Amino acid sequence: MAWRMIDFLAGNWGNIASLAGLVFSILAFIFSKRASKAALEARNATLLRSLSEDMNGANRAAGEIVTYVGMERGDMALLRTSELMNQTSYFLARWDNRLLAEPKNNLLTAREQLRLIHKVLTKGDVPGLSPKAKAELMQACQQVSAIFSEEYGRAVRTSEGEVH
Amino acid sequence: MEDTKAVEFFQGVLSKTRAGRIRWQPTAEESEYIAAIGGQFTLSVSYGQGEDSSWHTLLLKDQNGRVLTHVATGDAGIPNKDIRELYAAARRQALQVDDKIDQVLGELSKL
Repeated sequence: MAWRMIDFLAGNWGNIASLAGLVFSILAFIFSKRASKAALEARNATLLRSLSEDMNGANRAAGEIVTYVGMERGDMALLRTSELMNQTSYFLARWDNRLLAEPKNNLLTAREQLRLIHKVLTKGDVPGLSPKAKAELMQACQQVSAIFSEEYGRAVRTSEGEVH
Repeated sequence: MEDTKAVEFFQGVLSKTRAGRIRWQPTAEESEYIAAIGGQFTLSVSYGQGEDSSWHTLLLKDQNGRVLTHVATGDAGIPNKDIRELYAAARRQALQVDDKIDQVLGELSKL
């Protein structure tokens, strides 16, 4: 029996080796596919976390602008407004191919609002503004803050996998 | 000389504003209203006043904030009444004037 097995192996070793090679190739293909899918998922998760962190930072800065304007600290509000304007331009460039039209519209609106907030703050001190102008400035700051809160929430939700 | 593309752009914005399809927003500047469209462009419509003149302006900016085109009162092919109408409609929509008037009418009817 053992001799028959040895004879069979000796006579067909080439075929057996080819078959084993084929099986290993298929396994290698399956594992490499899984590994590349896992790597892609890990990369996406890292990118989405990074987007959430960006939006969280912007959300905090927008909240600070509201606080500074409320406290009539125009100098600090102006500083934060300039920073957030630059950050928003960075987000638009950095996340251009990851964001849908609606979040992009929100970011464009926020940047334009910030530009006009900056313009108003540059004209003069917050205490020197008329009550109407102060109310309009505050509303614009609140809108920017609401936009970044919304975008932060959307980014967190996306990174948690509820929406892709 | 008339900039036909700019006139076409203006007429497009006016017609979509009349139809209420553009989401105009108030800004920190009392006389300026903005809207973002298509995730790539920003529109702004504003009103300015000098010593003896006043004007309305419509701007189109790209994603980088660069001005692509500029339409103002007195430009060839832009009727003054149309650009005034655009500003008034954008203001009305941004401040949700109609909704607020309906609200007031509702309150008045209760009196």
